[in-house]
Amino acid sequence: MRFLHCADLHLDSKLTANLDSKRARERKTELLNTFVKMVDYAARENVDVVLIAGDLFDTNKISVTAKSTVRAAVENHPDIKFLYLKGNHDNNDFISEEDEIPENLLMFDNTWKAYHFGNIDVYGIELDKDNSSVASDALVCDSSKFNIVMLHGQVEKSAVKDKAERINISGYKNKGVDYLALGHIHAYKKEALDARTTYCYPGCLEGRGFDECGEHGFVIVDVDENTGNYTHRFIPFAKRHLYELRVDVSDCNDSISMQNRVEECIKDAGIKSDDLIKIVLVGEVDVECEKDENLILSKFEDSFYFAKIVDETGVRVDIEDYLLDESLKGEFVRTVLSDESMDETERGEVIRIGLKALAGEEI
Amino acid sequence: MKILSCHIENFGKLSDCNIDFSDGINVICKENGWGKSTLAGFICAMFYGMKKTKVQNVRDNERKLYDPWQGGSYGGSLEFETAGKTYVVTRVFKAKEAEDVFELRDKNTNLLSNDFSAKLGEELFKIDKESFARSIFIGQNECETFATDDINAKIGNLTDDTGDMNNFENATNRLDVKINRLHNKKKTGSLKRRSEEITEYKKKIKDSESLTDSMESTKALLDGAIKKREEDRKKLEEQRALQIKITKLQESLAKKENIDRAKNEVKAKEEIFDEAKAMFPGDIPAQKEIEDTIRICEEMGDAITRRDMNLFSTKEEDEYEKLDRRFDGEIISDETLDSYIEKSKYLKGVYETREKQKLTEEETKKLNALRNIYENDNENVLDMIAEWERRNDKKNEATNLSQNIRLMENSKELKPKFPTLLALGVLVMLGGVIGAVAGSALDIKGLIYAGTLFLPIGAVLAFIGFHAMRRDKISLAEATRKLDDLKAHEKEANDMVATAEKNVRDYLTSKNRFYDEYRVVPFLQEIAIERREYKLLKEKEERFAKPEEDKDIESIESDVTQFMEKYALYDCSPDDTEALFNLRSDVTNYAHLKKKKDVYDKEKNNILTLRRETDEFLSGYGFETEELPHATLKKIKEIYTDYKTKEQSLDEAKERLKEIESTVDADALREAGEAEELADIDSVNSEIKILEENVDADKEEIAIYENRMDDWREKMDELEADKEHLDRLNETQEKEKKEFDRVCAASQLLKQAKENLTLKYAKPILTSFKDYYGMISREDASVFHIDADTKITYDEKGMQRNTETMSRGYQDMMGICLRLAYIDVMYKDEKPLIIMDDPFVNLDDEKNVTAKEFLRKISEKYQIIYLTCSETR
Repeated sequence: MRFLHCADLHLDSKLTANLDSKRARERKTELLNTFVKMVDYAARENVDVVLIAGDLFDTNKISVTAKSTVRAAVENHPDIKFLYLKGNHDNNDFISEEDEIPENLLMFDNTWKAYHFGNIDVYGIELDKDNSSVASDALVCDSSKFNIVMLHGQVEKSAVKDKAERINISGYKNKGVDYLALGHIHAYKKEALDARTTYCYPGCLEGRGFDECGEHGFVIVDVDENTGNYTHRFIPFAKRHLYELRVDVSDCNDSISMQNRVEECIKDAGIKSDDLIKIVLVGEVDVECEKDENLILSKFEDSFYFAKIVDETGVRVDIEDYLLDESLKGEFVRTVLSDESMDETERGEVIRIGLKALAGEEI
Repeated sequence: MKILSCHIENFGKLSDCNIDFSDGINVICKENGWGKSTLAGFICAMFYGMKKTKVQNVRDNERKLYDPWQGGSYGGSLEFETAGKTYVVTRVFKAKEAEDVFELRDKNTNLLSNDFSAKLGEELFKIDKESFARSIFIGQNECETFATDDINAKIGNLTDDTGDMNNFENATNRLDVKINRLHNKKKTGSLKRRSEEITEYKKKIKDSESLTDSMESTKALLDGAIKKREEDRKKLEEQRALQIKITKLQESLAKKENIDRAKNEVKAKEEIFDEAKAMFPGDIPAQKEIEDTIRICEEMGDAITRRDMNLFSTKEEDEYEKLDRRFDGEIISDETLDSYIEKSKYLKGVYETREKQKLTEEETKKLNALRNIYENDNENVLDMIAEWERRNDKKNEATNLSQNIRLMENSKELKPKFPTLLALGVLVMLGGVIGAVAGSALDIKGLIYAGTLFLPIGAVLAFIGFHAMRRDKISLAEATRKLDDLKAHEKEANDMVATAEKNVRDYLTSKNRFYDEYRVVPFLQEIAIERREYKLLKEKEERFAKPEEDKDIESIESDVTQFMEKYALYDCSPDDTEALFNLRSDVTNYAHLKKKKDVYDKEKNNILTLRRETDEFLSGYGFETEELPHATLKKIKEIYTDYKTKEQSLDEAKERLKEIESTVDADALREAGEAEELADIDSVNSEIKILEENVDADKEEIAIYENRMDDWREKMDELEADKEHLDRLNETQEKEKKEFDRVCAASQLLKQAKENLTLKYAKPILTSFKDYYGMISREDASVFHIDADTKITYDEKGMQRNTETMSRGYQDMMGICLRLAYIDVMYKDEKPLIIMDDPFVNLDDEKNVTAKEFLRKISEKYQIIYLTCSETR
């Protein structure tokens, strides 16, 4: 039997943190399309059950488009069972009181619920502040079967009382669970809990911000019903990738040489034009180095779906250069360097600003 | 550095004016209105040019101020010396600054010089025009001064050209602009504005904190409404169940009455049915049995009719017996008869044809006679006739050849000719020789001449004769060969003739003909006719005699004869077709009679069988038997139909009863029987209606709460967005705050650096200042101090005081001294000129005296252009 384990799709995310409104709308649609393509993939690959381990949606108020698209994707594949366990971002808005729930959409609530597929049982509970610390105690599995448990939350090594979205992972040890299908963490993670149990976060389907860099997709779990053996593989599926590219520009003295350095790093990283990139300038540059972030960025803005630049460089001041400099500049540097109210970084920045002002440059 | 002379073309009121300058002090003492300040302005303009400004005030707009009164070219030239070289600078001022003319020539070479640009003043004095006005140029009532950036830079001697001190002001301005832009206190500052925005968002978020409670309370209301709807739905279901129960009970009661009615009907129908049943004496036959018996009875009537129709007459009886004996029950098929008739017709045709093809006796005799002659003759008579024709031709040819041979043999051609001419030629030659010899011997010249003449004539004749002889020889050989050929041909022709004659003779003899050369052809033609006749007769004989065909005919003859004999046609020829036609007629007659007899016998047996069956039926069911019981059976059928109608009517009544009973639940029927008091259906209906309205109202209420939940969700999303926005604002604010602090620090530390720097040069300035001050005032200058901004203060009554509190004369004096102090410190090497436009006008007489001494003193170091209107100053 084949399972597709996904989570944290965050459909309807606003995505305005980095993108302008037009791009944000476009990316929002892409998120929805990737979900639909994932369901098509499931149909193509003969997946029997799709496990959605929380945060299918991102907002409290779900748009009509997102609702109808998800509903259509479920209804158009009646042979696939969709097990949807709500996460902290989900609410009851997806299916209203008057809506008829599609037959192949199976849901959970805040008490343990099980669905049986021959020799395979899938359990799930939606965690809240009341049940999160005691949920594992209430779970009783038939250990002769292959048991999957769906949960949405952050794995904790010990019990955390009255906190929703916290999974006391130790509580699921030696419970006869084979596979813990989790959601909440946006990066793929798989770890053994005990000799029998493995827990897995498939990560989100598409990266949305630069805190979600790297490969994203879902997990395919093939279970042999007779032997209880299973295989597990991560399927990268995101349309676009996000990269945070840290570029050391210590030995660059002007914006153009920094541009070239960034370009080299982009080439080495193999970043594609469809991707989103955050360039972080790092290292220590000379205090008199010419550096224009906008100019550096301008070269890459049109080469990628989205590009931004962040300057995290420090300023390097060589005191020897200014010790005997009988100029206002030299006096200024000496004055700043003797100011002990600031740390070294601050002193460097102040010197940089002062020297820029003296050089008649824009501050 | 010093100026040597100047030529003013037109500048203010000065026009075409030449002035020479010397080292040391140059006093230009002229009355008021002469143009002293204009001259000072001219010198300044020669060094620095004039800025174009939009300021309308003439005093602040130097281009307008010095616009030539009398018009003409605006400008002039100035000769000056610096670093050991003499230059002449010429400037012409136009309406636009960009159109101004600047020219610098090396005085010694009179060539244009690039040593300095149009920014001559800045390059010479290393200070801008403002600084020039604050130091070197001391205008009337403008003695007060302060250190500009350029002065500071020059004082510090920090750089020769573009020292960073010059940029201090710009840098601090830039930093101030940035500080203002970022400021956290000023309204224009982004920090302040963002701070307000943050406060606003915080308030908004705080105000929205109750949103979760509102949402939860709405959720509780929604859940309550859903619960109420479920309860109402449950009640509604209960009432609907009660409604169904009551309805069912009512239906059961109605059905019970129906059942009683149906039972009575069944009872009545049973009585009628019993009467109908009693019409049968015994058991009741099945309808099929009755119908089958009626059909049998009808069949029996038909069989009797058919039997009677096929009864034989006496004549037919006899005829049948006769034919039956002959054919013994066999009916010969038409196909068989047709086949034998065809065979008989065929034989008849064969016999007739044979009769026609048979050889006559005469023909047989002739054929036998000819067979002896021509049986083995394979010769082609026509070829033989053709050969005989060729023999005739050859015979004629041989005759002709023989004649020709004889003619040829007798002709001269075959006889050799004597060579007469040759002999004559020889003789003539001989005669000539002889004549010549004789003539020589005899010396008879005439004979010699004749002999000599005969010799060639004889040679010619001998030559011609020789050739004629050769020609004759060839002709003879040719004729001989021709004769031989003719003889060969003659022989060949004669051989052929002999062969042909032999062949013909032999052939004619073999065909009983004698050989006559002149009748050969008619004989051969006769033979050809005979041979043709033989051939025809032989073919006829062969056609008639065909042994295989005879065998087939015999077989057919035998077959037909046997067939005829089998059916008593003895003594009939097999080609007697008529006899066979008669046989066919007998067969047809026999077949007809036989069929009639068969039908009769069959129907007779059939009637017996049918009668047995009707008897069995009638006696079996208690009815009397009859020979033809048709009427009885018809009656039985009527009784039966009536019986079945009654039975059906009874069954229908029973079915109705059963149907009614099946639709009624036994329990319900029992309940109906036991029900003493039923709830009022109308009140139940009313209750249902109320509950339905309640459920609808619940739905509406749920919809309202769901809409409200939607609103709350939207607001929650807005709150989330606001929180995200606030985070971003805080992040930006934090970042900008850091930047603001850094820019403030940079500004403050830059100012501090500048002060530090200028402080280093304050002491030499103060020293110079005190020297000059003491020189003019003759007073103690120790009370003066100088600050980092090179501003002078003085002690008075225990406090340092600003010079602004001093009198105008003192202020001028201090300003002059400070300027000189600046210049001293600024120009360590090459000293500049100093232009003074009546600076001591505010000094008292005593100080005017000391000022002169001061002037004399400084003129030792500097070239002074001193402009005054009073000789006393």
